[in-house]
Amino acid sequence: MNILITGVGGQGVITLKKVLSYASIKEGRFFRASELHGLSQRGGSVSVHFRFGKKVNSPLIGRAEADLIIGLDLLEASRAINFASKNSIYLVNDYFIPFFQLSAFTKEDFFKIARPITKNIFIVEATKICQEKLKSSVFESIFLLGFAFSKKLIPLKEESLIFGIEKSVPVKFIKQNKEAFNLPRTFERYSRL
Amino acid sequence: MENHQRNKNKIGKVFQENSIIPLLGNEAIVLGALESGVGFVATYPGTPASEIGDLFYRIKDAYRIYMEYSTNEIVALEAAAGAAYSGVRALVAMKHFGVNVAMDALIPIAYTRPRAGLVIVIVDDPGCHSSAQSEQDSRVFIENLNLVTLEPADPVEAKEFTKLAFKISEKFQKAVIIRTTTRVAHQTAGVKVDKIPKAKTKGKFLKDLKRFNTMLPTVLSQKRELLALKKPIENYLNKTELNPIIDGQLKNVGIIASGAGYLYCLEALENLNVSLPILKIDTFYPLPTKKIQQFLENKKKVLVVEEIIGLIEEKIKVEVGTMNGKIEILGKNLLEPVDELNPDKVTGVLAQILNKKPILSEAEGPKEIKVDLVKRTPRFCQGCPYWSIFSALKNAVDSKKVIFVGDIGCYMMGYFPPFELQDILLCMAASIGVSHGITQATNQKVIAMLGDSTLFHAGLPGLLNIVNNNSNPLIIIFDNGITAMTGRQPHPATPLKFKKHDGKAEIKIEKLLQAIGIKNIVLDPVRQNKILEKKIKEFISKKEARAIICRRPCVYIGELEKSEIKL
Repeated sequence: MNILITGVGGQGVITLKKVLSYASIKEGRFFRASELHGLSQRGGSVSVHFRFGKKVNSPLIGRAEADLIIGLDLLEASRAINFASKNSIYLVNDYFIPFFQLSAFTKEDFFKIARPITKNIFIVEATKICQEKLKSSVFESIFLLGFAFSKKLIPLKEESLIFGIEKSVPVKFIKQNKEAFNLPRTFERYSRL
Repeated sequence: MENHQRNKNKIGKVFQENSIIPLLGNEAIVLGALESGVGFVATYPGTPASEIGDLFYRIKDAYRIYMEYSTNEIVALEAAAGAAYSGVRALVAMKHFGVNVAMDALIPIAYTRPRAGLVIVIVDDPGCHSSAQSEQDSRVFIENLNLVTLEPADPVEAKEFTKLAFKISEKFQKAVIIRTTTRVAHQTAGVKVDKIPKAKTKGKFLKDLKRFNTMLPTVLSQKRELLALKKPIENYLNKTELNPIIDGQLKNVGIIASGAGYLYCLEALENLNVSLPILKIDTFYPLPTKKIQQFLENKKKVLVVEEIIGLIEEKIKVEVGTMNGKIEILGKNLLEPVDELNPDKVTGVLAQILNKKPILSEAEGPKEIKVDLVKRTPRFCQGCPYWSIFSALKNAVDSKKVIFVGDIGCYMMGYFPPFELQDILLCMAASIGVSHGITQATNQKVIAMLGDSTLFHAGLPGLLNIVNNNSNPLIIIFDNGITAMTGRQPHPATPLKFKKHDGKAEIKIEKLLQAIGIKNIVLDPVRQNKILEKKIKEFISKKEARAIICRRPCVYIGELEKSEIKL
């Protein structure tokens, strides 16, 4: 399976890579990942290619070969379009981090780019929900992971992903990250997302 | 995986023996070195090699090894050589540009015979993902070094090759090079932790004039000895599992590949649903010429897949030959020597050679969608003191008339809007030399911008040259107390409270400049912004060089110290 994770430095892209890595190790699956974060801590794009299965050759995903694209930012999700095919699933945070040259980028802008390629798109207000329910947007990446799990977009077991979270996030934030992971399920049940 | 301070007295807490953990290629090199009993590590931070030093920095107390962030790469290399000459296993790590800095020492070090393993890690950056100045292929220097050079393709190999490098280094008493690229250094895979022995950190330097002096008349005989090692090393390597040949069904077409390129080849073959024999090159030096010769037999076409320059390809053509032109050796005629390789590029080229369509293009995936999305240019972090320096510069002088010479560090972002205050950028500390040249060759006003860590790295010779030749650029020192851009590593002027585990001094840049005759003033660019503006105006019209040290700590200073070790 090929998962592409994109976002901006500080959004938790690399943390998601770690969670998936540990979850794969726990299940004895082979994986390879590649990350790009040149100047990410200064507002640049960050992306992770994560591939797992029986056998994985390249650490990079080829064009149109992503099964799942997790976008933590609408613009960065759009940038990944060349990895999408009609079979790809897009899971995107309804959020845009503005910068000097671009003050707005809406989900309509994203749809214009993504819809001609794939119809499988989930747009989730991860940042907003995390701010409301968990008092911080830092949990947005784990929230999206929880969403992907609850929709069965990632064939890894819950216990493996939880193990991955425990191994990857700072000790004092493990509890809140687990909450963030579980939130999409309960949220959907009780308040119609 | 607790905080290293809590681990001080327990060896082996960070890496649990027999566990499998996800590691970056860079981190796997650290593990390989620990498993080899490395006792001395020196580095200057630089992406894509930074994580090697950063992990060593965070675990050095837990494993009781010596590790330092040296002032630059040549100092780091010399220090590591000194340790290895004294019988302590040593590792030095640097990015590609660091090799240029270290080269003056590296060539003679190749002539000497360390008494313990000496491993030099070099990380190149095809595609310039984090490299401002150029797309350099550091393998071109190997010709001048004649040192064994291993090229892993993934983190598992990165660890194993590091261990092997120490072994080879001790067997042949020569330094050994590990060369990787971004896609190996920043590739993650599950790596098994083996036993980490207690490291030896103290040795004894035993005198041996001919062994460590690269002097006339011995220097040529040392070079002959070095060259003579090639054969025995080749024989030794032939008995290892390195440079494997993977069989394929098609017999007359083959692939020779190195590094991440090898992984892309495997992917490409799967994409094309074809099976070709592959020779994986693990040893860039010495190249396994016998194996290459065997591999070429009965082939009509061989594609060489390597990042950046076609060095292996050229060497094969020269050293092994094309069997009187019977074999077509392909490589950089099809794969451009610019930008990094990827599975799509290799698939395309193989499809062309085999006259085959990739399975991919038959799927309904897009060819290539051209979307015009604005690039996120890097920007200063929230609260960064450099914002204020650039705003003072913009307000103080007419930016159309003044030449701004930039340098390597966070202040490079002055190039981007809204500032656009950087007319020239070359390499570490070039701002000083170039601005000196401009002031001597023109009547224009010049501002040289230099970071604190960059000053220590290579700025001092240029500053002395300015004083000695009496030129008058205005020097702005961007002093945020840390090597910020590569990950906030400490340097000689970092306040001691922020470098509990590195260095024992806190060098004052103002005193250093004063001592060499550069009048200077220290200002807080945020709190004293108006004064800064005034001083820029005043100093720029002086007949002698003046410096303004803009000092205010990076908002993330000390973060590397505090961060939890979570591998």
